[in-house]
Amino acid sequence: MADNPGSLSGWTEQEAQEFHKYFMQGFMYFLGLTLVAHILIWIWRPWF
Amino acid sequence: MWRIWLLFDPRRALVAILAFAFIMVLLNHFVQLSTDRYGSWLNAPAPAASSE
Repeated sequence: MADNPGSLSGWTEQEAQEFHKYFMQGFMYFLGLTLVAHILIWIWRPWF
Repeated sequence: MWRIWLLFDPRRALVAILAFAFIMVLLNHFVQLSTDRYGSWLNAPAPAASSE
């Protein structure tokens, strides 16, 4: 983690962009799994 | 959007997000367990007809 005086977290822009790419990918997997789980539960026992 | 990681240290942010998510998941599962509709998925058949 190179020290970058410009950023408060000390990370460089390039590192931040790379981290963001993986962060968003992980978040999409999480959303996908959650969506599938809710669809299955809805099929089993709808809540409306 | 990625600039957020110039403000918050990603390592600390990840730990905080995961801790928050874990608490929320725990809470929601127990809330559901406390309801009539979903409170029996562990122990008993559905109170109402489950094919609604």
